[in-house]
Amino acid sequence: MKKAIHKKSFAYLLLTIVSIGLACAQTTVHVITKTFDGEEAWTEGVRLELNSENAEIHCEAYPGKTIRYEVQFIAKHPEKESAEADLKKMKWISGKQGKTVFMRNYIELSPDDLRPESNLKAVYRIKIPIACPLTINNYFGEISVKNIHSTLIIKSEFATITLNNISGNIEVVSKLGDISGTALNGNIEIISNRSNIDFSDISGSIDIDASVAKIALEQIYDLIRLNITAKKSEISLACGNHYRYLLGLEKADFEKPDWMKMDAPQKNETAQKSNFIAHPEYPVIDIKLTVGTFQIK
Amino acid sequence: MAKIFRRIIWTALMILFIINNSYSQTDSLSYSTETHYYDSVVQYLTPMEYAFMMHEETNWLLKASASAYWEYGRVEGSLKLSLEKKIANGFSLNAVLFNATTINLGLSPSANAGIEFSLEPRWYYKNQKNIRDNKPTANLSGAYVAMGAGYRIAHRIYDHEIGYSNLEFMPLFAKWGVQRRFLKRGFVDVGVMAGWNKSLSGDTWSTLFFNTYVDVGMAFTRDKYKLDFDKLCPVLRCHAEDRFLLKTNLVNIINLAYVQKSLIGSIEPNIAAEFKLGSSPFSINTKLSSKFQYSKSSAFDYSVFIISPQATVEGRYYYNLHRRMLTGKTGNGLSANYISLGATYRGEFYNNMSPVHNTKQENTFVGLKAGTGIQRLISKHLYLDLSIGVGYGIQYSYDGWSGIHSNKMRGIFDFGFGIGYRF
Repeated sequence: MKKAIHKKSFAYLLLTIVSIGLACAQTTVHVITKTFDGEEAWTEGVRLELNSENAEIHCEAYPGKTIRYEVQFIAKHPEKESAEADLKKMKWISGKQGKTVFMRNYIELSPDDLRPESNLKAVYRIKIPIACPLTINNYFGEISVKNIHSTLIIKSEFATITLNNISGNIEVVSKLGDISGTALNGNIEIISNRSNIDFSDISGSIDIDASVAKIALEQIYDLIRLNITAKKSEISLACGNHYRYLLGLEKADFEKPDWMKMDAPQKNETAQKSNFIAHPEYPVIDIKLTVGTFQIK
Repeated sequence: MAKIFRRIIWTALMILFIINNSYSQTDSLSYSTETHYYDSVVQYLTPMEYAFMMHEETNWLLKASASAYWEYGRVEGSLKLSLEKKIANGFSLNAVLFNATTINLGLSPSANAGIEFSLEPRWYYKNQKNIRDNKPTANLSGAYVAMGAGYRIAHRIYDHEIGYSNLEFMPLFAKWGVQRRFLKRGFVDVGVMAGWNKSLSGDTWSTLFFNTYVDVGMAFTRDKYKLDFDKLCPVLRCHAEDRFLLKTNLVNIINLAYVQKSLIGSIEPNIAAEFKLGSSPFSINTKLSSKFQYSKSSAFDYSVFIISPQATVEGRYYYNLHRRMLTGKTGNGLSANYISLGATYRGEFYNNMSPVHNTKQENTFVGLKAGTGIQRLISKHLYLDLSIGVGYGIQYSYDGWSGIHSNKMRGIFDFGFGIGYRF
C-alpha cells in the first residue's frame, strides 16, 4: 500500500513538472495546407527537372507512361492570416519545354511584399515512368528517391538525400546535406561539401569528391572502379581483400589491415603513397585523402 | 503517510536543485594548449559581389564590345577589342583596338572609317584599402584611374569619285571609371574621360574632348570555379514579381568635346515606364527622351542647337518568360527576351545661328516599329535592355535655307542599347 502511494505521488509530481515545462514553451500554430495534383504526358526521351525550394521531395518510378505529381504547400504560423497570406506567396509552375518537363515552386515577392514570416514548405510526391531521366535541384529540405533506373541528377544545398534502389547514371552534388543510399548500381558520381556519405550495397563505377565528410561505403560488390578524392574527411570502406588499392594519403591516419602488404611504399612524416596489388586482375580502389582518417574493414 | 509525502517532496526538490545546478556548474577548470591549423579567412560575398565575379582571381581579360546606330540616313557602327592584363597588385595594362565606321547615305554619300590602337595603364586605387578592410577584391574589378595614349588613322571618303584622305591622330587621355565583370562572360566599364586628340596630319585640327562612356560587352578569361546561378537569385531576381518599371538609360547621357575653337556638347535625359499586363507575358513600354546638342565655332562665329525628341509606345511580348520561370531564372516579372511592336516619333530640330541670319531645319518621323530585344533586371536598381528593330513611316522635313516643306515614306533601323537605373 505504502509503495503504491509512493509511486503515485512521484508520478503526479513528475507529471506536474513536465506539464509546467511544456506549458511554458507551447504556442498554437496554424497550419494551412494547399494540395493539388496532376499529370504530364511522357514520351521516350523526355526528362523531368524539378527546381524547388524548401521542399520535401519523394520520387519513385512506376510502370505507367505519365509523370504524376501531388504537391502540398504548407504554411505554419501562430497567426492564421499570416499563414494564409504567406501561402499565397508560394508559387507553382510546371510545363514542358522541348524534351524537358519542368516543375518549380518558389516564393514570389512583389516590390511591396514583405518576406514570409511563416514556416513554408512544399511536399512533392512524384511518380515517373521507369525510363524517365530525373533532375532535382533543391534548396533546404529533403530528397528521397527510389526505384529509378535511368539517369538521376541531384543538386542540392541544405537538403538530406536518400537514395534507394537506383541504377544508371547517378550524379549528386550536395552541400551541407547528408547523402545516404542503398542498392546503387551504375556510374555514380558524388561531389559533396560538408555532407556525409553513407552507402551500402553498391556496385559499378564510383567517383567521390568530398570535403569535410564522413564517407562510409559498405557491401561493395561488382565494382568496376572506386575513386575517392577527399579533404578533411573520414573514410571507411568495408570491402576486404578483393581489390587493388592505390593510396595517396597526406596527414591522414591509416591503420593497415594485416593482409595488406604494400608494394614499394613511399612514406614521410606527413604523406604516404603506396600500392597494394596482390591481385592485378581486381578492380582498382584509388584513394586520395588530405587530412583525415582512412579505414578498411 | 505524511512522512512519506515529505520524503517524496524533498527527493523531488533535491533532484530539481541538482538539475538546475548542473547547467551552471563551474567547479572544475582545466587548462591546455593546442596547435591549430587555421583555415584561410572566409570571405562572405554578397550575391551582387558574386555576380561581379569577385570570387575569381582575374589576371587577364579579353573584352569585346560593339554598337550600331542608324539615324536619318547615317549609319554608325563600332567594334572594340581590348586585352587587359594585371601587371602588379592593383595595376593593369589595357590594350585597345577600336574600329568605328560611319556611312552617310543620301544625295552626297560619304563614309568615315577609323581604327585606333591605344594603351592605358590602369590603377585600381581601392584594391589596397579593400585588402586592408578584408573586403573582397578581384583584380581588374573596381574603381580605377587611367592615363593613356594611342594612334588613330581615319580613312575619309568624301564620295565615290571625288577623293579620300588618311588622317592621323594621337589621342592622349585620362579616365576615371568603374569596371566590373558581370557573370561569366560579361563586363561593364563606365566612367568619364577627358583628353586631347592631337592631329598628326597638317590639315586637321587637334581636339579636346570630355565625355561619359559605357562599355558593355563580352569578357573572356580562364576562371577557376563554375558559376552557381542559384546564388545569383537576389541579383537576377528569380523571385521577383515586377509589374512596373520606371527606368532611365545612362548610356551616352553626356558628351562634351572641344575641337580647336569649337565646342560640341550634348545631353540626353530620358525616362521609360513599363507596365506588365496582369500575370501575362505582355507589357506596355513607353519611352520619352530628348537629346540637346549644342556646337559653337568661335572661328566662324556660328553655332548650332539641335533638339532631338523621341517618343515610343510599344507592346512587348516576353516570349521566353515562361521558360525562364520554369528553370528558376526569374519570377513572373519583366526580365526575359521579347518581341515588340509599336509606334515611334522622332524629331530633329536644327537651329543654325550666325550674326547674319538664323535658319531652321526640321525632320520629323512618325511610324510603326517592330523589334526584338533582351531585357534583364539586375538587383534592385539596375537594368539592361538591348534591342534591334526596324520601322516604317512618314518623314516630314523643312529646310529653312530653301523654305521647302517635304514629306516621304521611309524606313528606319533601330539599335537600342540601354543600361541604366530603375527607380
